[in-house]
Amino acid sequence: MAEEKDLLGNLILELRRGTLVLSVLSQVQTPKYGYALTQSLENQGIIIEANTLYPLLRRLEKQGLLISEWDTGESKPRKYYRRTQEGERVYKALRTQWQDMSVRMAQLLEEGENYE
Amino acid sequence: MNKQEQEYMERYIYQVVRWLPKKQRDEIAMELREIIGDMVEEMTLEEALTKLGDPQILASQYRGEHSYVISSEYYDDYVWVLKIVMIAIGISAVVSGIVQLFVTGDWFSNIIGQLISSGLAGFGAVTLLFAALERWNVKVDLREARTQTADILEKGWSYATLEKTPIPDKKGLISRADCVISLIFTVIFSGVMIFAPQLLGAYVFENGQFEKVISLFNLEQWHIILPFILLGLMAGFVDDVIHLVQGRYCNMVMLSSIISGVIQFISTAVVLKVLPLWNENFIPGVEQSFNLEFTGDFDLMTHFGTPFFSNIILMIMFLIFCVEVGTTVYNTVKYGRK
Repeated sequence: MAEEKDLLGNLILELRRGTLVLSVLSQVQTPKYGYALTQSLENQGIIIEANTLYPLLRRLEKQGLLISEWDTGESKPRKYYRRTQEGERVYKALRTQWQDMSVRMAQLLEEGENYE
Repeated sequence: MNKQEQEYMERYIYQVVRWLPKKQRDEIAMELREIIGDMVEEMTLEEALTKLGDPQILASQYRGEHSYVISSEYYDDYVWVLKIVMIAIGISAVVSGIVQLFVTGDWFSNIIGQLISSGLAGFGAVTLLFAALERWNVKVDLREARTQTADILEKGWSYATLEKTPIPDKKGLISRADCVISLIFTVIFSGVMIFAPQLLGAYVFENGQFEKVISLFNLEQWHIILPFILLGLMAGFVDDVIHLVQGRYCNMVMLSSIISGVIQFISTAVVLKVLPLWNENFIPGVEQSFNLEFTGDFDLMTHFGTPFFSNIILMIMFLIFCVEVGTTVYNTVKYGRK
């Protein structure tokens, strides 16, 4: 039982991992700082571990999809991330891909259900 | 945050950034201060840091490094090389154990100690080598049999490559067991030649008590003879390793067989015809110790140490050489990869 639970947990994690970048990119059309990003994702039921999200933001910046800027005006310095032009293009392409895939997946799963 | 919490947060941040490259540390520390600061507005510091998790894992996420020493890309080659090295170490431990048994009479502790220390060293060396390859992203393909043709390596696989890569004829494959057995014998024989050539000879017992060995070989000149014997054995050893690594007949195996065959034949010829290999006192010693007398042409012992005796051995060696090289050339031409 415990093994099955582990296996299922891993599979869910893998499934989610594939959608991570798309989820993050969708939220940063306007500049957002780290914690606000977690909140807005969480509010919509998308849970990304904190220790995954922040390093991911840096990685996306390194890949040129995001750009960051420190705002030191406030009482607390904050780093804001937003999509670059390249990030914009990649986001749109990924979004189309996802929409296409989810339609196909829905069909696939429905078919599977009919056979049950 | 109170003073103690502030201190704990800094401790946590320190434990993350200490694993990171120097130039990233300050910025990531600043980011973490911001994130944790935001989090503690809605939860306790303990909850926030627990959510962020083990600082080392967080650091590895920041480094973006894969958390493995050897990736799946290298794993097959790694296991394959490791197996060969472990087999070689096992064989050499057993051989040196056998030699030790003759020399000191104690083989058990030696063989176990040898196995453990050389096993660990071999494992470490192979792992280190592959970790380095992984790190610098060097792709080596160690098995030529697997890489098929250079063309595929350069241009990648395509449908057309199937034309050039037929399923190899079974007869074109080299038996691994044969190679390993041959390697074992080479190593054992080398061990005896190096450490205990005196073991080969006639054993003299008196009243059931071991008395002495009358050596077949001229041990006084052994320091001159041994290098030539080892040269031949080494050529055979390298040839077997090449057979084992290639796994099937190809031009390289054929070339290696021919070269090693020639080296082995020449070194044997030098040892037999030029160097004083045989112990002149063998026959007198045996006659005396066993109260025998060797006379007559048909008594093999009368010929011991004579040029006739050496010629016979050399001829046998030549026949073996011809058969070995002949079969390799035949198999390469008939079944081998061009």
